[in-house]
Amino acid sequence: MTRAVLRRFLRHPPGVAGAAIVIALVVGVGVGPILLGLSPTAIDHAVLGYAQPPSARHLLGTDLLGRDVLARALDGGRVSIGIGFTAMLVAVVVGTLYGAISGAAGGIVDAVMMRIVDALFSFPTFFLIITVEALTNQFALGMIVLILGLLSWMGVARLVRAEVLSLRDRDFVEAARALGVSQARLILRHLVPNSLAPVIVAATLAIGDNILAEAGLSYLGLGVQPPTPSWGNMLQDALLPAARNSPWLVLTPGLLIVITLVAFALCGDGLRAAIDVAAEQSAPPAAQSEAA
Amino acid sequence: MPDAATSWRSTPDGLHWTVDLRHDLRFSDGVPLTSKDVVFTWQAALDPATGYPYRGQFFYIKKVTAEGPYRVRFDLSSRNALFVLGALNVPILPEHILGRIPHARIRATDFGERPVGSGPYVLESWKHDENLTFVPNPHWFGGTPTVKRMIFQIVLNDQARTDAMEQGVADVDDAIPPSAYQILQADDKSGRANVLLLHIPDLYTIFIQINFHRPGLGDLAVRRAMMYGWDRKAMVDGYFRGDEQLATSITPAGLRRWYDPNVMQYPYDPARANALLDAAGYRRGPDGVRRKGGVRLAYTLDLQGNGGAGQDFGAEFQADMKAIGIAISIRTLDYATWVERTNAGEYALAYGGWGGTPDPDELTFLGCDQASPIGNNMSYYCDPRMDRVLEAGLKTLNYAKRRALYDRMQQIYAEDVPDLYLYYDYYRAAVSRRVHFDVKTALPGQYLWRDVQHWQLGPL
Amino acid sequence: MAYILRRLLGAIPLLFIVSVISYALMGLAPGGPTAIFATQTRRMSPAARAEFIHALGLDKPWYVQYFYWLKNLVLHGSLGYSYVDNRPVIAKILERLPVTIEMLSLALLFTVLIALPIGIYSAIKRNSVFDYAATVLAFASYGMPVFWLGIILIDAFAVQLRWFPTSGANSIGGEGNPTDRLYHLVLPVATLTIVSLAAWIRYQRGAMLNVLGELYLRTARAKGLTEGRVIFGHALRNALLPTITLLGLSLPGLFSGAYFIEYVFSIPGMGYLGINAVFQRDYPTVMALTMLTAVLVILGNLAADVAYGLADPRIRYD
Repeated sequence: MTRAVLRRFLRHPPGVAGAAIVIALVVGVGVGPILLGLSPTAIDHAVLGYAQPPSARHLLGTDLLGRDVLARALDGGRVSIGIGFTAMLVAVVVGTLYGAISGAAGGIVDAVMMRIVDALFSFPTFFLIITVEALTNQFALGMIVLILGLLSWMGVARLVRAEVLSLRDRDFVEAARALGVSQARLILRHLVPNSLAPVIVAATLAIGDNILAEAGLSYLGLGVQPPTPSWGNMLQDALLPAARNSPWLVLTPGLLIVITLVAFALCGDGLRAAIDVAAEQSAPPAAQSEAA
Repeated sequence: MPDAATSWRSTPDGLHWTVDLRHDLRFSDGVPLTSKDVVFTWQAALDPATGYPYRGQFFYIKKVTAEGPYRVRFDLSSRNALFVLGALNVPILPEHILGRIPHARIRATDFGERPVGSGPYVLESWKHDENLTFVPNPHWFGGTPTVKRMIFQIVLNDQARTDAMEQGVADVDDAIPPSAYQILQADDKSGRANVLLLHIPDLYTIFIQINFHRPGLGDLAVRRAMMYGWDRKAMVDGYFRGDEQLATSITPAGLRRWYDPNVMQYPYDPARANALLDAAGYRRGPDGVRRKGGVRLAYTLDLQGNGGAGQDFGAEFQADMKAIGIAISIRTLDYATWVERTNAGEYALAYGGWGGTPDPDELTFLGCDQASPIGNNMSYYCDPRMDRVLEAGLKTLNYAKRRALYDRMQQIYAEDVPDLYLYYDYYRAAVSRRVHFDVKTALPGQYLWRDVQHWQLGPL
Repeated sequence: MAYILRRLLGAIPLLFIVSVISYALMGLAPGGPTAIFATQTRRMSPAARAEFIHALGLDKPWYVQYFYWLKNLVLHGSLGYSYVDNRPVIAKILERLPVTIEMLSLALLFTVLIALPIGIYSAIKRNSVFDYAATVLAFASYGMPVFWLGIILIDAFAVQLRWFPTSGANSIGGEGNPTDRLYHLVLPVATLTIVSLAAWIRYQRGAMLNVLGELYLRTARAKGLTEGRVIFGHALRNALLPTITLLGLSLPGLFSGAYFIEYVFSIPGMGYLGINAVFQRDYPTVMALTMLTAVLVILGNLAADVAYGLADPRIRYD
């Protein structure tokens, strides 16, 4: 079935474009700094306080301390995309387990668990993230990933629960139960793997959302702490009064974020188109309305 | 209080001061201001239970008594050159309103929301986070101020304040940041705005504070190496656009009668810094960080605020220190936490400043016995030479003799490097040209408002 | 009717869970919930403080504390006092509520007015150039960090072109003037609208596609001539219905976005208060705001549900 999905995906131009950009970005931020040989931390005492416009030596100019913007953007990209991806993994793991357990349990347990999800959904997520960061004062990259992940798993939980509910009454599940398979094994080995289709789409979009959240967080000073660059804290720098007439400082991280997000969104859209068609052929209509 | 006082004199030994009050002083609610209000104010101020933050500065005041309704007597435990400037400038609280409240509760009352004072203006309304409106105090002894209404608008956005000045919507923008000053300066030249700009050396020294209790920071070689290894001039000229003055010691250049530039200098010289550390026995480890014995030269620099300018500053300091083998990590704290931590000694290095009084005395800041929280010595710095000079300076009333003592203080400070001093700041303000006031009254320490009762509003 | 009642009753456990979560969040703060709702103790001596805490029952275990807090909230409507100026938090928040609601409503209005037609047209002209262009634009607007867009708009339209003010909800001295207020809200509302467009465009397009799909199937089966316009009208109505549910779903994000924009534009609304409170570590205000926003979202969802119930004929016969 994966091959069929892949084939369908490749027939969808926007999705392919998105995926291509994502790959280019990942490669770029991964090996770019090494290939370019530019240092993101080298401060130029001669031009302190005056950001330099793009030139032959600095393709995207320098920031207020004379550091090369392109180098910082690539380094920062690694941090931002890295955080986005890892936080997504946290959210997916937590959300999948939560949703699967809720769906498999059914009854009161399911109702209560889903009410909790509803309540969590009602909080303004970004504001909640900055609140938790401010309360805990934990700005290590790992903590940021954890906090982002733990505040964004709810959507995945709902999706997985919906899938599990539709799978619960299927033949292979009945068969497994008849064979005496334990509840835990049932969830992990059978229900979860078959529920992952919509999760993949949601995960792709979640990476983008996390990058946006990190950008806002770092811009406010509550995320990645300098001198470690991230797209968000590069924007913090870019918006100082001294950086006023230096558009390259504001545009570089911002446009990179937009491009990255568009790429992930197109990719996710393409995946959805590819997977949904496949899903339609095997799931009853009831599942779709639950997922919507 | 010199406004309220008609005269003050002391005994020859400087230990007893008598202050005479005007007879026509009234609070804004009409109640006369007399010596009992002064006595009450000082009883509350000197009581530790009240929690008056500047209580430490008045350690030398033993007793305050009233001698009749218009005379107050201050008994000091030691002579102090700051009595007139400091003690006589403490505002007077109304005894008839706050007298019955236990000292521990005074700061918790809402007197701050509806203050009753005796100056030319009184607070008419306070819309929180929006504005405060002042109107003339009908009971002020000086008559009626010219300007009938003053609205202080709280605008947290720097750009918005600059806009308001440009558009002529606001008349005064006080204590503006350098960037706003530069914009308004350009505006005034181009005719886009009609403002008078004030640019006066202020009384604050900005520095990186050092905690002597941290391993390594108590070592003079390390501190001096940090000074040589930090490109302070490039920071001031470049990063601060040359709009601040490179500091040479603790006394700001704004204190013109006291400032002495003839002290030990620290030009940017990383080679010398490295040599100093090598000679002191700090060897670089495999990670490039110097160590000696069990001491590793790695410290956290605490910055205030929420990022922005501070981050770049920290990054530059970090890079310079890395080049001489000292590892710096940066931590940003919100203002309240920053103050708490530095006051409690829970820091290694902290970017802050000190100053503000129009007098060179620094006893509470540098004295051996003034370690925080008793005094304001948050570095835990102690040098008996410094103590001798500071104590003598406070007791001397003759300008020439004091001057020599404070010159010595500045020299010792530069030699000892209790803080990594960076620059002296400027006071900048913008005033619309339709406000006519005597510019000469805008001195450091009192700035614009000294003569506010005489301001005139006219055409541009 | 029963549907509406059921929805109303369903909101109650939600509100309860929201209060528990908010309370639990307070535990993350240094000093925990005790510090937050015993704000007045900060300036007291240790003895007085212990006495005060005991009187409020704050030295009991956390579950008991929760009930005291809830009681305090329900009976006195009190959510504590701000660390910054000791004023009741509720008062500070309610002062700011109107501006935020104003901004949100305007943004929502424009988002819907712009996004729905684009979404519908995209669905009709599926896979056309218009569709692709709309998709990319929608994704781009979604991909822009809201504060970045705000700052760029300020720089372009307020600083360089001077068409709009750079910040604030009123000019100094212009309070109470509705024109002045609208003038100040143009850029912030525009920013919020632009970043919200994407979700609505995509959702509407998807809903319309669904309906069109059913429609073609039905017409194919009917095999007769059908009035294009009648079917189109029917399709439109059915496509618009799910959009009402999106209203509810998008509220949390809308609030978050509005709060950030208020900070960027210095608009004195709830978000401005909230974000500054976060910077000042004014925990009581932060917690109260978080909880109140969740409550507002739940109420908003309720309203959307009721509207949906009234609009959808299928539900009426429930």
